[in-house]
Amino acid sequence: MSLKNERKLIYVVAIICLVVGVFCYSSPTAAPPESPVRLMFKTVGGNVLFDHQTHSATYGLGCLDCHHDQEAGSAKLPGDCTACHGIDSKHVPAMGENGKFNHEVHGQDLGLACSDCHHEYDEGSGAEPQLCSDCHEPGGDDDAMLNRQDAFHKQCIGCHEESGITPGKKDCAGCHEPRKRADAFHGQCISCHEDVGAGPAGGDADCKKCHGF
Amino acid sequence: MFSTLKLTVSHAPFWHIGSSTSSKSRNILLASLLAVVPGCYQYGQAAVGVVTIAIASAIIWELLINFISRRPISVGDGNAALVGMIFAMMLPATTPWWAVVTGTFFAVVIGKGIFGGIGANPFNPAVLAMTIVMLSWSHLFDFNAALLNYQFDFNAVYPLVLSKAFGAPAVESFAVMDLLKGKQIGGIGSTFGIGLILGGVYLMLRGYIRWEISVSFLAGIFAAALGFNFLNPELYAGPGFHLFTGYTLIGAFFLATEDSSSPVNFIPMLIYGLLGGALTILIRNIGTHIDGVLYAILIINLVNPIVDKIRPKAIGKGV
Repeated sequence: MSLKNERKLIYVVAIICLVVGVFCYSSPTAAPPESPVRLMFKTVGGNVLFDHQTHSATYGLGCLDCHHDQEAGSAKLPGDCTACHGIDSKHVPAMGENGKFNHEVHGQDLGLACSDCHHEYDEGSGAEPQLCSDCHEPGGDDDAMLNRQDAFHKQCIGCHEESGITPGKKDCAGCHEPRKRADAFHGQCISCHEDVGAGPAGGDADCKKCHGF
Repeated sequence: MFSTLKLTVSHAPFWHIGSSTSSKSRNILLASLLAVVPGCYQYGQAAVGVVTIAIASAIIWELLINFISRRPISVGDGNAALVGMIFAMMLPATTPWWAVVTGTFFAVVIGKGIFGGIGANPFNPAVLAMTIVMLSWSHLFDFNAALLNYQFDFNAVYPLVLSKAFGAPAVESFAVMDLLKGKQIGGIGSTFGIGLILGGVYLMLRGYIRWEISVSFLAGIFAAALGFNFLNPELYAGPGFHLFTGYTLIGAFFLATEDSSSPVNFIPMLIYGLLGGALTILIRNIGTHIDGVLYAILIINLVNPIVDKIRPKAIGKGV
Protein backbone atom coordinates (compact mmCIF):
# COMPACT_ATOMS: atom_id res chain seq x y z
CA MET A 1 0.00 0.00 0.00
CA SER A 2 1.38 3.42 -0.92
CA LEU A 3 2.10 6.01 1.76
CA LYS A 4 -0.73 8.16 0.42
CA ASN A 5 -3.23 5.32 0.64
CA GLU A 6 -2.01 4.38 4.11
CA ARG A 7 -2.66 7.92 5.22
CA LYS A 8 -6.11 7.93 3.63
CA LEU A 9 -6.95 4.68 5.39
CA ILE A 10 -5.97 6.14 8.77
CA TYR A 11 -8.05 9.28 8.10
CA VAL A 12 -11.06 7.07 7.39
CA VAL A 13 -10.38 5.02 10.56
CA ALA A 14 -10.10 8.23 12.61
CA ILE A 15 -13.35 9.67 11.26
CA ILE A 16 -15.28 6.43 11.77
CA CYS A 17 -13.88 6.02 15.30
CA LEU A 18 -14.70 9.62 16.15
CA VAL A 19 -18.30 9.32 14.94
CA VAL A 20 -18.83 5.99 16.72
CA GLY A 21 -17.15 7.28 19.89
CA VAL A 22 -19.21 10.48 20.02
CA PHE A 23 -22.37 8.43 19.40
CA CYS A 24 -21.51 5.96 22.19
CA TYR A 25 -20.75 8.68 24.71
CA SER A 26 -23.68 10.92 23.81
CA SER A 27 -26.43 8.35 23.44
CA PRO A 28 -28.15 7.22 26.62
CA THR A 29 -26.79 3.99 27.97
CA ALA A 30 -28.87 1.42 29.80
CA ALA A 31 -30.17 2.93 33.01
CA PRO A 32 -28.52 1.55 36.14
CA PRO A 33 -30.69 -1.03 37.89
CA GLU A 34 -33.21 0.36 40.34
CA SER A 35 -31.69 -1.68 43.13
CA PRO A 36 -27.91 -1.19 43.35
CA VAL A 37 -25.70 -4.10 42.28
CA ARG A 38 -22.73 -3.24 44.48
CA LEU A 39 -21.96 -0.27 46.72
CA MET A 40 -18.59 1.14 47.68
CA PHE A 41 -18.57 2.66 51.15
CA LYS A 42 -15.63 5.01 51.42
CA THR A 43 -14.26 5.09 54.95
CA VAL A 44 -11.12 6.31 56.64
CA GLY A 45 -10.37 2.75 57.69
CA GLY A 46 -10.31 1.47 54.10
CA ASN A 47 -13.14 1.22 51.61
CA VAL A 48 -15.80 -1.46 51.95
CA LEU A 49 -17.28 -3.11 48.86
CA PHE A 50 -20.79 -4.22 49.70
CA ASP A 51 -22.52 -6.63 47.34
CA HIS A 52 -26.06 -5.29 47.61
CA GLN A 53 -27.50 -7.67 45.04
CA THR A 54 -26.10 -10.78 46.70
CA HIS A 55 -27.43 -9.71 50.10
CA SER A 56 -30.90 -8.92 48.79
CA ALA A 57 -31.35 -11.61 46.14
CA THR A 58 -29.19 -14.53 47.27
CA TYR A 59 -29.40 -14.12 51.04
CA GLY A 60 -33.05 -13.06 50.88
CA LEU A 61 -32.75 -9.98 53.07
CA GLY A 62 -35.67 -7.59 52.87
CA CYS A 63 -35.17 -3.87 52.32
CA LEU A 64 -36.36 -3.13 55.85
CA ASP A 65 -33.69 -5.34 57.37
CA CYS A 66 -31.20 -2.56 56.71
CA HIS A 67 -33.27 0.46 55.64
CA HIS A 68 -35.16 0.32 58.92
CA ASP A 69 -36.71 3.77 58.59
CA GLN A 70 -38.40 2.87 55.31
CA GLU A 71 -42.13 2.26 55.43
CA ALA A 72 -43.04 -1.33 54.62
CA GLY A 73 -44.28 -1.68 51.04
CA SER A 74 -43.32 1.89 50.22
CA ALA A 75 -42.26 2.57 46.66
CA LYS A 76 -40.07 5.37 47.93
CA LEU A 77 -36.35 4.78 47.46
CA PRO A 78 -34.44 4.25 50.68
CA GLY A 79 -32.95 7.47 51.93
CA ASP A 80 -29.37 8.27 52.64
CA CYS A 81 -28.20 6.62 55.87
CA THR A 82 -26.24 9.78 56.69
CA ALA A 83 -29.47 11.77 56.84
CA CYS A 84 -29.99 10.34 60.33
CA HIS A 85 -26.69 8.65 61.14
CA GLY A 86 -24.41 11.66 60.86
CA ILE A 87 -20.67 11.27 60.78
CA ASP A 88 -20.41 12.84 64.24
CA SER A 89 -23.83 12.00 65.65
CA LYS A 90 -24.01 11.40 69.37
CA HIS A 91 -25.89 8.29 70.36
CA VAL A 92 -27.56 9.84 73.39
CA PRO A 93 -28.70 7.24 75.97
CA ALA A 94 -32.41 7.05 76.60
CA MET A 95 -31.88 7.44 80.32
CA GLY A 96 -29.98 10.03 82.29
CA GLU A 97 -28.93 13.51 81.30
CA ASN A 98 -30.17 14.54 77.84
CA GLY A 99 -32.10 11.26 77.61
CA LYS A 100 -35.64 11.10 76.28
CA PHE A 101 -37.02 9.06 79.16
CA ASN A 102 -39.56 11.08 81.09
CA HIS A 103 -39.80 9.72 84.65
CA GLU A 104 -42.73 11.93 85.56
CA VAL A 105 -44.89 10.80 82.65
CA HIS A 106 -44.14 7.15 83.33
CA GLY A 107 -44.63 7.40 87.10
CA GLN A 108 -47.54 9.81 87.40
CA ASP A 109 -49.41 10.01 84.09
CA LEU A 110 -49.09 6.35 83.16
CA GLY A 111 -49.42 5.16 86.76
CA LEU A 112 -46.46 2.80 86.90
CA ALA A 113 -45.36 1.75 90.37
CA CYS A 114 -41.75 2.26 91.45
CA SER A 115 -41.20 -1.47 91.65
CA ASP A 116 -42.38 -1.97 88.07
CA CYS A 117 -38.93 -0.81 87.08
CA HIS A 118 -36.89 -0.74 90.29
CA HIS A 119 -37.81 -4.35 90.82
CA GLU A 120 -35.81 -4.90 94.04
CA TYR A 121 -37.18 -1.74 95.68
CA ASP A 122 -39.31 -1.85 98.78
CA GLU A 123 -41.53 1.21 98.45
CA GLY A 124 -42.36 1.17 102.16
CA SER A 125 -38.79 1.40 103.28
CA GLY A 126 -38.56 5.14 102.59
CA ALA A 127 -35.08 4.67 101.14
CA GLU A 128 -33.98 5.92 97.71
CA PRO A 129 -34.58 3.36 94.92
CA GLN A 130 -31.44 1.48 94.01
CA LEU A 131 -29.59 2.30 90.82
CA CYS A 132 -29.91 -0.19 87.96
CA SER A 133 -26.15 -0.28 87.55
CA ASP A 134 -25.74 -1.48 91.14
CA CYS A 135 -26.47 -4.95 89.76
CA HIS A 136 -26.58 -4.57 85.97
CA GLU A 137 -23.05 -3.50 85.24
CA PRO A 138 -22.41 -1.43 82.11
CA GLY A 139 -20.74 -3.58 79.51
CA GLY A 140 -20.90 -6.61 81.80
CA ASP A 141 -21.19 -10.00 80.23
CA ASP A 142 -22.41 -12.20 83.02
CA ASP A 143 -24.77 -15.05 82.23
CA ALA A 144 -26.39 -14.71 85.64
CA MET A 145 -27.03 -10.99 85.38
CA LEU A 146 -27.98 -8.96 82.30
CA ASN A 147 -25.68 -6.09 81.52
CA ARG A 148 -27.12 -2.60 81.88
CA GLN A 149 -27.90 -2.07 78.21
CA ASP A 150 -29.69 -5.40 77.85
CA ALA A 151 -31.56 -4.81 81.11
CA PHE A 152 -32.82 -1.43 79.94
CA HIS A 153 -33.77 -2.74 76.53
CA LYS A 154 -35.60 -5.72 77.97
CA GLN A 155 -37.35 -3.62 80.55
CA CYS A 156 -38.43 -0.78 78.29
CA ILE A 157 -39.12 -2.62 75.06
CA GLY A 158 -40.89 -5.47 76.84
CA CYS A 159 -43.32 -3.06 78.45
CA HIS A 160 -43.84 -1.00 75.32
CA GLU A 161 -44.45 -4.06 73.19
CA GLU A 162 -46.86 -5.45 75.75
CA SER A 163 -48.83 -2.24 75.98
CA GLY A 164 -48.59 -1.42 72.29
CA ILE A 165 -47.30 2.05 73.02
CA THR A 166 -44.59 3.44 70.80
CA PRO A 167 -41.64 3.46 70.58
CA GLY A 168 -41.48 -0.23 69.85
CA LYS A 169 -38.89 -2.85 69.26
CA LYS A 170 -37.16 -1.46 66.17
CA ASP A 171 -37.76 2.21 66.72
CA CYS A 172 -34.32 3.00 68.14
CA ALA A 173 -34.66 6.70 67.40
CA GLY A 174 -37.81 6.81 69.52
CA CYS A 175 -35.61 6.63 72.62
CA HIS A 176 -32.12 7.43 71.38
CA GLU A 177 -30.62 9.95 69.04
CA PRO A 178 -29.33 8.02 66.00
CA ARG A 179 -25.86 6.64 66.48
CA LYS A 180 -23.04 7.91 64.34
CA ARG A 181 -22.67 6.45 60.87
CA ALA A 182 -19.69 4.22 61.54
CA ASP A 183 -21.33 2.70 64.63
CA ALA A 184 -24.61 2.22 62.77
CA PHE A 185 -22.92 0.35 59.92
CA HIS A 186 -20.78 -1.70 62.26
CA GLY A 187 -23.74 -2.58 64.44
CA GLN A 188 -25.92 -3.44 61.46
CA CYS A 189 -23.40 -5.51 59.51
CA ILE A 190 -21.56 -7.27 62.30
CA SER A 191 -24.60 -8.13 64.38
CA CYS A 192 -26.33 -9.67 61.35
CA HIS A 193 -23.21 -11.62 60.36
CA GLU A 194 -22.91 -12.91 63.91
CA ASP A 195 -26.58 -13.82 64.06
CA VAL A 196 -26.43 -15.91 60.89
CA GLY A 197 -22.90 -17.17 61.60
CA ALA A 198 -21.67 -16.22 58.12
CA GLY A 199 -19.52 -13.57 56.51
CA PRO A 200 -17.05 -11.24 58.19
CA ALA A 201 -17.75 -10.78 61.88
CA GLY A 202 -15.93 -10.46 65.16
CA GLY A 203 -15.67 -6.75 65.77
CA ASP A 204 -12.64 -4.54 65.74
CA ALA A 205 -10.06 -7.32 65.60
CA ASP A 206 -11.21 -8.30 62.12
CA CYS A 207 -11.46 -4.91 60.41
CA LYS A 208 -9.50 -6.20 57.43
CA LYS A 209 -12.20 -8.69 56.61
CA CYS A 210 -14.31 -5.84 55.21
CA HIS A 211 -12.06 -2.80 54.93
CA GLY A 212 -9.39 -2.83 52.29
CA PHE A 213 -10.96 -2.27 48.88
CA MET B 1 31.98 18.89 16.71
CA PHE B 2 31.12 16.03 14.37
CA SER B 3 29.97 13.00 16.33
CA THR B 4 30.88 9.67 14.80
CA LEU B 5 28.64 7.94 17.35
CA LYS B 6 25.54 9.15 15.56
CA LEU B 7 26.54 7.27 12.42
CA THR B 8 27.20 3.98 14.20
CA VAL B 9 24.67 1.43 13.02
CA SER B 10 24.44 -2.35 13.04
CA HIS B 11 26.78 -4.23 10.79
CA ALA B 12 25.95 -5.15 7.23
CA PRO B 13 24.51 -7.11 5.59
CA PHE B 14 21.03 -5.72 6.26
CA TRP B 15 17.97 -7.81 5.66
CA HIS B 16 14.58 -6.30 5.00
CA ILE B 17 11.84 -8.46 6.43
CA GLY B 18 9.48 -7.49 3.65
CA SER B 19 7.17 -5.69 5.99
CA SER B 20 6.61 -2.06 6.95
CA THR B 21 5.75 -0.03 10.03
CA SER B 22 2.16 0.30 8.90
CA SER B 23 1.89 -3.43 8.30
CA LYS B 24 3.28 -4.07 11.78
CA SER B 25 0.79 -1.64 13.33
CA ARG B 26 -2.08 -3.26 11.44
CA ASN B 27 -1.07 -6.72 12.62
CA ILE B 28 -0.75 -5.69 16.24
CA LEU B 29 -4.09 -3.90 16.01
CA LEU B 30 -5.69 -7.05 14.60
CA ALA B 31 -4.10 -9.19 17.34
CA SER B 32 -5.36 -6.81 20.00
CA LEU B 33 -8.92 -7.20 18.68
CA LEU B 34 -8.89 -10.79 19.99
CA ALA B 35 -8.98 -9.33 23.51
CA VAL B 36 -10.78 -6.06 22.80
CA VAL B 37 -13.86 -7.53 21.09
CA PRO B 38 -14.72 -9.84 24.05
CA GLY B 39 -14.13 -6.86 26.34
CA CYS B 40 -16.57 -4.74 24.34
CA TYR B 41 -19.05 -7.63 24.38
CA GLN B 42 -18.74 -7.81 28.17
CA TYR B 43 -19.02 -4.08 28.89
CA GLY B 44 -21.17 -3.01 25.95
CA GLN B 45 -21.57 0.39 24.35
CA ALA B 46 -19.50 2.18 27.00
CA ALA B 47 -16.42 0.11 26.13
CA VAL B 48 -16.88 0.70 22.38
CA GLY B 49 -16.99 4.42 23.12
CA VAL B 50 -13.74 4.32 25.09
CA VAL B 51 -11.88 2.31 22.44
CA THR B 52 -13.04 4.38 19.47
CA ILE B 53 -12.45 7.75 21.13
CA ALA B 54 -8.98 6.60 22.20
CA ILE B 55 -8.02 5.61 18.63
CA ALA B 56 -9.52 8.72 17.05
CA SER B 57 -8.00 11.14 19.56
CA ALA B 58 -4.57 9.50 19.35
CA ILE B 59 -4.57 9.98 15.57
CA ILE B 60 -5.70 13.61 15.94
CA TRP B 61 -3.00 14.35 18.55
CA GLU B 62 -0.38 12.89 16.22
CA LEU B 63 -1.64 15.05 13.35
CA LEU B 64 -1.50 18.11 15.59
CA ILE B 65 2.03 17.41 16.78
CA ASN B 66 3.06 16.88 13.14
CA PHE B 67 1.65 20.29 12.22
CA ILE B 68 3.08 22.08 15.24
CA SER B 69 6.54 20.58 14.85
CA ARG B 70 6.42 21.03 11.03
CA ARG B 71 7.31 17.42 10.40
CA PRO B 72 5.92 15.11 7.73
CA ILE B 73 2.49 13.67 8.46
CA SER B 74 3.22 10.34 10.16
CA VAL B 75 -0.26 9.05 11.02
CA GLY B 76 -0.18 6.73 8.01
CA ASP B 77 2.17 4.34 9.79
CA GLY B 78 -0.69 3.41 12.12
CA ASN B 79 1.41 3.80 15.24
CA ALA B 80 -0.80 6.51 16.74
CA ALA B 81 -3.90 4.35 16.23
CA LEU B 82 -2.06 1.45 17.85
CA VAL B 83 -1.01 3.55 20.85
CA GLY B 84 -4.64 4.67 21.25
CA MET B 85 -5.88 1.08 21.07
CA ILE B 86 -3.36 -0.26 23.61
CA PHE B 87 -4.11 2.64 25.96
CA ALA B 88 -7.85 1.88 25.70
CA MET B 89 -7.24 -1.81 26.45
CA MET B 90 -6.09 -0.88 29.95
CA LEU B 91 -9.00 1.45 30.76
CA PRO B 92 -12.20 0.59 32.60
CA ALA B 93 -15.28 0.83 30.38
CA THR B 94 -16.61 3.69 32.48
CA THR B 95 -13.72 6.06 31.76
CA PRO B 96 -15.06 9.54 30.89
CA TRP B 97 -14.22 10.86 27.42
CA TRP B 98 -12.05 13.69 28.72
CA ALA B 99 -9.82 11.24 30.60
CA VAL B 100 -9.45 9.14 27.44
CA VAL B 101 -8.53 12.21 25.35
CA THR B 102 -6.14 13.49 28.01
CA GLY B 103 -4.55 10.06 28.22
CA THR B 104 -3.95 9.81 24.49
CA PHE B 105 -2.43 13.32 24.62
CA PHE B 106 0.06 12.08 27.21
CA ALA B 107 0.75 8.97 25.14
CA VAL B 108 1.17 10.52 21.71
CA VAL B 109 2.50 13.98 22.51
CA ILE B 110 4.37 13.57 25.82
CA GLY B 111 5.28 9.90 25.48
CA LYS B 112 6.32 9.94 21.84
CA GLY B 113 6.10 13.22 19.94
CA ILE B 114 8.41 15.34 22.06
CA PHE B 115 11.11 12.67 21.91
CA GLY B 116 11.11 12.79 18.12
CA GLY B 117 8.31 10.42 17.15
CA ILE B 118 8.23 6.71 16.49
CA GLY B 119 11.41 4.88 17.41
CA ALA B 120 12.73 7.66 19.63
CA ASN B 121 10.56 7.22 22.71
CA PRO B 122 12.39 5.90 25.79
CA PHE B 123 9.18 4.68 27.46
CA ASN B 124 6.22 2.80 26.11
CA PRO B 125 3.87 5.74 25.36
CA ALA B 126 0.68 3.94 26.38
CA VAL B 127 2.19 2.79 29.69
CA LEU B 128 3.50 6.27 30.45
CA ALA B 129 0.09 7.78 29.72
CA MET B 130 -1.77 5.20 31.75
CA THR B 131 0.52 5.77 34.72
CA ILE B 132 0.02 9.54 34.55
CA VAL B 133 -3.76 9.37 34.37
CA MET B 134 -3.93 6.71 37.09
CA LEU B 135 -1.89 8.83 39.45
CA SER B 136 -3.87 11.95 38.54
CA TRP B 137 -7.40 10.54 38.81
CA SER B 138 -7.00 7.36 40.79
CA HIS B 139 -10.73 7.16 41.56
CA LEU B 140 -11.53 6.72 37.86
CA PHE B 141 -9.26 3.70 37.56
CA ASP B 142 -10.36 1.83 40.68
CA PHE B 143 -12.01 -1.09 38.90
CA ASN B 144 -14.10 -2.06 41.94
CA ALA B 145 -15.61 1.41 42.24
CA ALA B 146 -15.85 2.07 38.49
CA LEU B 147 -17.80 -1.07 37.62
CA LEU B 148 -20.30 -1.08 40.50
CA ASN B 149 -23.40 -1.19 38.32
CA TYR B 150 -22.37 -4.05 36.03
CA GLN B 151 -23.92 -7.43 36.69
CA PHE B 152 -21.69 -10.43 36.08
CA ASP B 153 -22.01 -14.16 36.57
CA PHE B 154 -18.73 -14.24 38.46
CA ASN B 155 -17.19 -12.65 41.56
CA ALA B 156 -17.03 -9.01 40.49
CA VAL B 157 -14.15 -7.93 42.67
CA TYR B 158 -10.82 -6.91 41.16
CA PRO B 159 -8.76 -10.02 41.99
CA LEU B 160 -5.52 -8.18 42.75
CA VAL B 161 -7.27 -6.00 45.35
CA LEU B 162 -8.61 -9.12 47.02
CA SER B 163 -5.21 -10.79 47.17
CA LYS B 164 -3.50 -7.62 48.36
CA ALA B 165 -5.99 -6.79 51.09
CA PHE B 166 -7.11 -10.21 52.23
CA GLY B 167 -4.32 -12.62 51.32
CA ALA B 168 -4.16 -15.77 49.23
CA PRO B 169 -7.22 -17.58 50.68
CA ALA B 170 -9.46 -14.76 49.43
CA VAL B 171 -8.62 -15.52 45.80
CA GLU B 172 -8.87 -19.30 45.92
CA SER B 173 -12.28 -19.04 44.27
CA PHE B 174 -10.71 -17.67 41.06
CA ALA B 175 -10.03 -20.72 38.89
CA VAL B 176 -7.31 -20.35 36.26
CA MET B 177 -9.66 -21.33 33.43
CA ASP B 178 -12.19 -18.72 34.53
CA LEU B 179 -9.48 -16.06 34.59
CA LEU B 180 -8.39 -17.09 31.09
CA LYS B 181 -11.98 -16.86 29.89
CA GLY B 182 -12.17 -13.31 31.16
CA LYS B 183 -14.32 -14.00 34.23
CA GLN B 184 -12.74 -11.16 36.17
CA ILE B 185 -13.17 -7.42 36.13
CA GLY B 186 -10.45 -5.16 34.76
CA GLY B 187 -9.49 -3.14 31.70
CA ILE B 188 -11.51 -3.46 28.49
CA GLY B 189 -8.83 -5.46 26.70
CA SER B 190 -6.85 -6.79 29.64
CA THR B 191 -8.99 -9.56 31.05
CA PHE B 192 -9.71 -12.04 28.25
CA GLY B 193 -6.57 -14.15 28.68
CA ILE B 194 -7.21 -16.55 25.81
CA GLY B 195 -7.45 -13.68 23.33
CA LEU B 196 -4.32 -11.99 24.67
CA ILE B 197 -2.34 -15.23 24.47
CA LEU B 198 -3.57 -16.06 20.95
CA GLY B 199 -2.78 -12.52 19.81
CA GLY B 200 0.63 -12.67 21.45
CA VAL B 201 1.50 -16.03 19.91
CA TYR B 202 0.44 -14.76 16.47
CA LEU B 203 2.65 -11.67 16.84
CA MET B 204 5.59 -13.77 18.04
CA LEU B 205 5.23 -16.21 15.14
CA ARG B 206 5.06 -13.35 12.63
CA GLY B 207 8.10 -11.72 14.28
CA TYR B 208 6.31 -8.49 15.19
CA ILE B 209 7.19 -8.92 18.85
CA ARG B 210 10.17 -10.76 20.32
CA TRP B 211 9.33 -14.02 22.04
CA GLU B 212 12.35 -13.62 24.32
CA ILE B 213 10.76 -10.60 26.01
CA SER B 214 7.27 -12.05 26.40
CA VAL B 215 8.42 -15.46 27.59
CA SER B 216 11.00 -14.09 30.02
CA PHE B 217 8.49 -11.56 31.38
CA LEU B 218 6.03 -14.36 32.12
CA ALA B 219 8.88 -16.51 33.51
CA GLY B 220 9.83 -13.64 35.84
CA ILE B 221 6.23 -13.41 37.06
CA PHE B 222 6.05 -17.16 37.55
CA ALA B 223 9.35 -17.53 39.40
CA ALA B 224 8.86 -14.52 41.69
CA ALA B 225 5.24 -15.43 42.51
CA LEU B 226 6.27 -19.03 43.18
CA GLY B 227 9.01 -17.84 45.54
CA PHE B 228 6.67 -15.60 47.52
CA ASN B 229 4.00 -18.30 47.62
CA PHE B 230 6.57 -20.82 48.85
CA LEU B 231 7.67 -18.46 51.64
CA ASN B 232 4.14 -17.67 52.85
CA PRO B 233 1.26 -19.43 51.08
CA GLU B 234 -1.29 -17.80 53.40
CA LEU B 235 -0.28 -14.29 52.40
CA TYR B 236 0.88 -14.54 48.79
CA ALA B 237 -1.13 -16.05 45.94
CA GLY B 238 0.50 -18.57 43.62
CA PRO B 239 1.92 -18.02 40.13
CA GLY B 240 -1.22 -19.31 38.38
CA PHE B 241 -3.17 -16.41 39.84
CA HIS B 242 -0.60 -13.72 39.07
CA LEU B 243 -0.05 -14.89 35.49
CA PHE B 244 -3.66 -14.39 34.49
CA THR B 245 -4.80 -11.38 36.50
CA GLY B 246 -4.36 -7.63 36.22
CA TYR B 247 -2.22 -6.37 33.35
CA THR B 248 0.13 -9.41 33.26
CA LEU B 249 -0.79 -10.78 29.83
CA ILE B 250 -1.24 -7.45 28.10
CA GLY B 251 2.06 -6.44 29.68
CA ALA B 252 3.89 -9.50 28.41
CA PHE B 253 2.60 -9.35 24.82
CA PHE B 254 1.66 -5.74 24.09
CA LEU B 255 3.47 -3.44 26.53
CA ALA B 256 6.94 -4.77 27.38
CA THR B 257 7.57 -5.68 23.74
CA GLU B 258 7.31 -2.14 22.34
CA ASP B 259 10.24 -1.70 19.93
CA SER B 260 11.75 1.58 20.88
CA SER B 261 11.81 1.02 24.62
CA SER B 262 13.00 -2.60 24.68
CA PRO B 263 16.37 -4.25 23.97
CA VAL B 264 17.36 -5.89 20.69
CA ASN B 265 20.02 -8.37 21.83
CA PHE B 266 19.24 -11.87 23.08
CA ILE B 267 20.65 -11.80 26.64
CA PRO B 268 19.46 -8.24 27.29
CA MET B 269 15.95 -9.22 26.18
CA LEU B 270 15.93 -12.08 28.67
CA ILE B 271 17.20 -9.87 31.49
CA TYR B 272 14.73 -7.14 30.55
CA GLY B 273 11.76 -9.52 30.60
CA LEU B 274 12.78 -11.38 33.75
CA LEU B 275 13.37 -8.14 35.59
CA GLY B 276 9.98 -6.81 34.51
CA GLY B 277 8.19 -9.94 35.70
CA ALA B 278 10.01 -10.05 39.04
CA LEU B 279 9.44 -6.34 39.67
CA THR B 280 5.74 -6.76 38.94
CA ILE B 281 5.41 -9.37 41.68
CA LEU B 282 7.55 -7.35 44.09
CA ILE B 283 5.29 -4.33 43.64
CA ARG B 284 2.13 -6.44 43.88
CA ASN B 285 3.22 -8.34 46.98
CA ILE B 286 5.20 -5.87 49.04
CA GLY B 287 4.60 -2.52 47.33
CA THR B 288 1.77 -0.12 47.96
CA HIS B 289 0.24 -0.30 44.47
CA ILE B 290 -2.31 -2.91 43.49
CA ASP B 291 -0.85 -3.94 40.13
CA GLY B 292 2.85 -3.60 39.45
CA VAL B 293 2.93 -4.20 35.69
CA LEU B 294 2.88 -0.56 34.58
CA TYR B 295 5.56 0.61 37.03
CA ALA B 296 7.68 -2.46 36.34
CA ILE B 297 7.59 -1.76 32.60
CA LEU B 298 8.53 1.88 33.09
CA ILE B 299 11.51 0.76 35.19
CA ILE B 300 12.70 -1.81 32.65
CA ASN B 301 12.24 0.81 29.91
CA LEU B 302 14.71 2.88 31.93
CA VAL B 303 17.27 0.09 32.25
CA ASN B 304 16.85 -0.95 28.60
CA PRO B 305 19.78 1.12 27.24
CA ILE B 306 22.07 -0.23 29.96
CA VAL B 307 21.23 -3.92 29.60
CA ASP B 308 21.32 -3.63 25.82
CA LYS B 309 25.04 -2.92 26.07
CA ILE B 310 25.53 -6.62 26.77
CA ARG B 311 26.19 -7.68 23.19
CA PRO B 312 28.74 -9.62 21.14
CA LYS B 313 31.97 -7.81 20.48
CA ALA B 314 31.90 -6.24 17.02
CA ILE B 315 34.31 -7.97 14.69
CA GLY B 316 37.15 -5.71 13.69
CA LYS B 317 36.22 -2.96 16.10
CA GLY B 318 39.31 -1.17 17.42
CA VAL B 319 41.56 -2.72 14.76
